[in-house]
Amino acid sequence: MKPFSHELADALAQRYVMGTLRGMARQRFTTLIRYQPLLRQRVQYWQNLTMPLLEALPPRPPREQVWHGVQQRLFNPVVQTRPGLFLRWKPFLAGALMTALASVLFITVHPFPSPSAPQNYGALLAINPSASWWIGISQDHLNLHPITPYPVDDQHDLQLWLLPAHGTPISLGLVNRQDTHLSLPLSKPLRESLAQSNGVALSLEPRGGSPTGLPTGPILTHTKIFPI
Amino acid sequence: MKRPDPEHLMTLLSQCALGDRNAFESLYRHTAPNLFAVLTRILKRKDWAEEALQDAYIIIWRQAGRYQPALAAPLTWMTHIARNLAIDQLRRPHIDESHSDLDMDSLSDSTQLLESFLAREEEGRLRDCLNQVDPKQRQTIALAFWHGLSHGEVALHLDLPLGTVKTWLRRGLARLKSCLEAS
Repeated sequence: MKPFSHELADALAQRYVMGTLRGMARQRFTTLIRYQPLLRQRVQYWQNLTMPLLEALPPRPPREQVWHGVQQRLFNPVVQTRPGLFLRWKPFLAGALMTALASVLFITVHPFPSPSAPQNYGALLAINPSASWWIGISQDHLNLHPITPYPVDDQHDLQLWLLPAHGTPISLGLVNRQDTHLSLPLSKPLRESLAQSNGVALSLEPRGGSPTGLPTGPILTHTKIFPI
Repeated sequence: MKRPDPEHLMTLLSQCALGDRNAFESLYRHTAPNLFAVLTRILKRKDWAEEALQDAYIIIWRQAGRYQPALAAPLTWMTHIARNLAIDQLRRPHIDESHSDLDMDSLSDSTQLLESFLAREEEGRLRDCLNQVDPKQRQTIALAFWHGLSHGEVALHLDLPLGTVKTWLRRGLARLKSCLEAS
């Protein structure tokens, strides 16, 4: 393709930086920048030149959730979760301990038939004797099998959490409303932190999951996971 | 508010390139309010601006190793990552409609901002040269630039014919450019 003249490159770069180059033209230009050093140089020129105008805008601090969302998406890309506030963790701990005491009565490990891939860890997560799930953790997946269903009303969802040895709970995802088998892909680091974790927990959250990224509702049950 | 120190940001960026998450948090704390200010003006809706801000920092973390100090100051590099994301998002049809929300308040706010920018005492080539541009033309420039408005949208909001807006922008920017290149 014919290279742009200096004038044309400059005019297009200026419109690109101003933001008035739109639609297909903008898309095309964005691609061309990568291959044409002159365009790149002109874009850089206009970006540097106009920066004082952008710096003149009064800064606006974003909500704290945005930062948590960035961290969640970059470093804990498990299942889509919402960002959260670190401080919510403390009240949660107290609740978790209370409910752990209450639920420990029901936690036993049974040699349940493993559903598919070889499983290395497992746990029985029970809210009460008539509402329970089997959790199986294989090399690369966490499987949650409902044994007896636990009905949840339309305003709520059940959310599954990993309780790391250190730090705040990490959302593993929402329990399927249809109470069918749930299978989550596990990254290697996540699998390791599961193996060394304090276990997993289920909390009752508003429909769609915790709005903060950390448990907000009552912890219904909590269990350690065991090698099987 | 004081601007983040470029040297410090550069150090943080190079630490990010090596995977230092603490440096990344520090970089975010120092710069997010600046990027967010740019995004909210363009995207109008807070939730869209927040989403774009997250996307921007994800790109910044991943591309930190490619940042070239010789080409742009760290904040310039970061701001344009965010700004380009926002302008690209404007192509989404439901976001396009939001531009009808741009009310007279935010227009007059921009006029005031421009006035205070032009009245600054510190030295600045851009400010000096903008001062030499016809006031109507420079207002059009600032409006398009800050709000990410297309020619058509500027025309709509200033209640001017499209041709006039195009001419003002072109002449204003040409004047700006010749002044900047002469100085």
